[in-house]
Amino acid sequence: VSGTAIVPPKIAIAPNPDAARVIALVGLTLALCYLVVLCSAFLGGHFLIDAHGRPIANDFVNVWAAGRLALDGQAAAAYDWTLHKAAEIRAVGHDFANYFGWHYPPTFLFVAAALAALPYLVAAVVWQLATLTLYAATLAKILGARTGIAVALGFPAVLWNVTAGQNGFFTTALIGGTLCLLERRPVLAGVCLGLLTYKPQFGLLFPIVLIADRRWLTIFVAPRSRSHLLRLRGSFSARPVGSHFWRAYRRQAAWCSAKAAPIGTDCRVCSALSAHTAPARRWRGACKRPLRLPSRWRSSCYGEAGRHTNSKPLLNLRRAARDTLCLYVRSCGARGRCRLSAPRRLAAGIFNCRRRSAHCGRSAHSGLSLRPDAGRPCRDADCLGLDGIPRVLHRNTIRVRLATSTICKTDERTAAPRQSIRRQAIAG
Amino acid sequence: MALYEISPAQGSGAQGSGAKLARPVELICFALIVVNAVYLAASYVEGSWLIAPNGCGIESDFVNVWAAGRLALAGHAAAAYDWPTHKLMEETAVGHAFDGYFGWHYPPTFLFVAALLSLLPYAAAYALWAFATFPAYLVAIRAIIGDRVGYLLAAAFPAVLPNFIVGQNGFLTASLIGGALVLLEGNPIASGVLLGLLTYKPHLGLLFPIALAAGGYWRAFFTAALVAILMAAASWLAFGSEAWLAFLGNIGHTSQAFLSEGWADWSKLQTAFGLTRTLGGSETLAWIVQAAVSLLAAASVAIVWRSKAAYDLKAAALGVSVLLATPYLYMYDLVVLAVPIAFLLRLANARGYLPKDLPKELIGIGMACGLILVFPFVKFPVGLAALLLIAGLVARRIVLPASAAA
Repeated sequence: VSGTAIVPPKIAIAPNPDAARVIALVGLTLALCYLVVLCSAFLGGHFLIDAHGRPIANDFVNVWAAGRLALDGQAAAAYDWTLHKAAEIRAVGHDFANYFGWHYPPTFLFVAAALAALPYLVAAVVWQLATLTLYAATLAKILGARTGIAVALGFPAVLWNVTAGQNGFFTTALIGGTLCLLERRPVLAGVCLGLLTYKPQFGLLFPIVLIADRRWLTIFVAPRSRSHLLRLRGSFSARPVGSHFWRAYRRQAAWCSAKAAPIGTDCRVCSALSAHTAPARRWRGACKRPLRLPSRWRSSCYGEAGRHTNSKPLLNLRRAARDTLCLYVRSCGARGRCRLSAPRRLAAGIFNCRRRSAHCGRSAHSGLSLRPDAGRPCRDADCLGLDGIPRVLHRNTIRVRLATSTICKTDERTAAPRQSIRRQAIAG
Repeated sequence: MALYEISPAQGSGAQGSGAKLARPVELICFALIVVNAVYLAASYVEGSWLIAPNGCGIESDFVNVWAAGRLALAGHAAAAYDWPTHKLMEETAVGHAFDGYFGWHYPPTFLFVAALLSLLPYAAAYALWAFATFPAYLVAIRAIIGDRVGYLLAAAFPAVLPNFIVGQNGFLTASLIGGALVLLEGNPIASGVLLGLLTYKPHLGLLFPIALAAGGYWRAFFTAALVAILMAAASWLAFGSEAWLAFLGNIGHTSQAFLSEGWADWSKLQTAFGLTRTLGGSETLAWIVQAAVSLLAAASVAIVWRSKAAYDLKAAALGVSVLLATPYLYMYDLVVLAVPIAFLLRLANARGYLPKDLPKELIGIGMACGLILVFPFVKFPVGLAALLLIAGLVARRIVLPASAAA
């Protein structure tokens, strides 16, 4: 089905191309204004270099001076205001009024030392450009490339951060990166969050949020590399029960029938997996076999009981159960190393899904033709069935439902089958 | 993709009323206008333009005009050519002593304008001069292009900014040259008047008599001569013969200071002379190079204006040759370069170029604008390169008439 539009988040902000163009134009115009102001300040001797050709001391001098002290093996001196001020004066080569204090924990000394390896002015420019890139990339990730970069560069605080030589871009990139990656790449999100501790005052609310949302993997960023995760998954998938799941998964066949999943842990596994993947399956199936999958979904999830989930209360109950299971699975998967085999398998399953979506997501974004060709692995058209869904595979199922309902709303060509699915699902 | 859309149906009308900029060109022009406006606003707020943070005026080229005008008002017009006296008046104008000296090198005719301006306080006169001559320049370019987009293109031209910053007379020069060239065919008398007024900068007017004579535009020629003589006579009556004698004596001083000794940085001179000196050539060598370029420019103008080339091409050739022929040319004078560029665009709009050809030309113009734009960051006469680029584009049009006649 070509012409199917999945609604990426950026559309919600810029609902039509004209608005996107206006945002881009306004943002880039503002960015140009900032650039001109910086150029004029530079030529007028108010920015970077003063009228006598000497470097101007601004907030960045505290970072460079601390890094220099750290490189000289006197990291503790960065917290001694007198010694640090002397280092700042050495950095710019002339005395200046005021003192720019170094208030960061020693973790940030790594960055400072790396910057101090460069000459002062070069380091100042490199630091701003590098963190600006990160910041723009983060917003591009959130809003889509064009709008995101325009908004990032046009945001008025940009000018103040650059003129002060501060680290606002870096902080923004870390916070934005954490929030962006939290759902799909919890480990990376944890890394970002861990780096954010260089500014502890900005990190106070994150633990609360993560605990409230039970994102254990992100909280306890496991010291495991990605390859380790992959090995983990590989070893699990080789196990008899697991292999059954993976074979089923890869064949794009029925997930697990009630017969194949015995009562007990596997039932739980099965339900949870379905909870994660069923919307995707359902959506893809809608294109291929519009009427068959929902029933399979129900039966696969809840066995015979699925047939009786035709009334609203039961449907809600089922959703509630799915959400609960989802959270449970997430926490199990996060622990990864717990001895229970089923949660481990689940964790592996989740990682597998994630990899798959990460692998396919990009191409699926660009090409929006949708041809259900489930037999082949991961071609654009094939993966597209998972797009929109893969991105939310690990989100709470509430989000999954939101996403699917959006798709149902916007997809005109397949609207009729969708409705029939709904009717089918409700009428049972 | 055509960068400059030509609609033959409309383009055949008077002065190509169908000019419509393609979106990329429009966006670039918009961006450049934003650059110009924001830079001025930022400089003003920072206190590096018009008024210093302590409330004093900021010394820049305009101070020489104001000080000369003030001296003329006081009845000492000849003192404007006396450097120590003029310098003292400049320091009075800005309210504090400063290093360097901004010389008054114009003939006494220009003292009328200077005296009028010096009736106002320094900063107010500065702003009035810049913002009053700017519309004249915009109107001249718009008249050449023959469409409203002319305003956009004129305001976006990068040489506009240096002229604003130093409060110079590039806008006036460009509007006089542009106006004279655009009126020459239809209204030679008015054109002659404008050329007569241009004598306030004699070094930019040297090629006009050659062109007018070669093209047979005698009415404009004699009108210009008459106006120049009348202006000189009026200034002689108003300011006395001392002023004229002082002016003639001052030419040698100025040449000595700026061309031989390089008071201003060599790289600020956007001429073959300045380039030779910047590269370390001797003064003699620089004069030889400049003479060769000037003679070449004069010869080309004579040949082109005698030929049967399109008038727009003749005007473009003269506009760029005028700038190449003088040894004494600063970045603010390059506002005049907008005139030949505008004639090139008008030619494209009126006749219609081959689709493949025009983008090439626009890229050349864009490169010239880029060179002017980077001038503050490089210590090099890049303006000369911009001049040569535009001269190359004009020459290309002249020697390839087949492709021009679509």
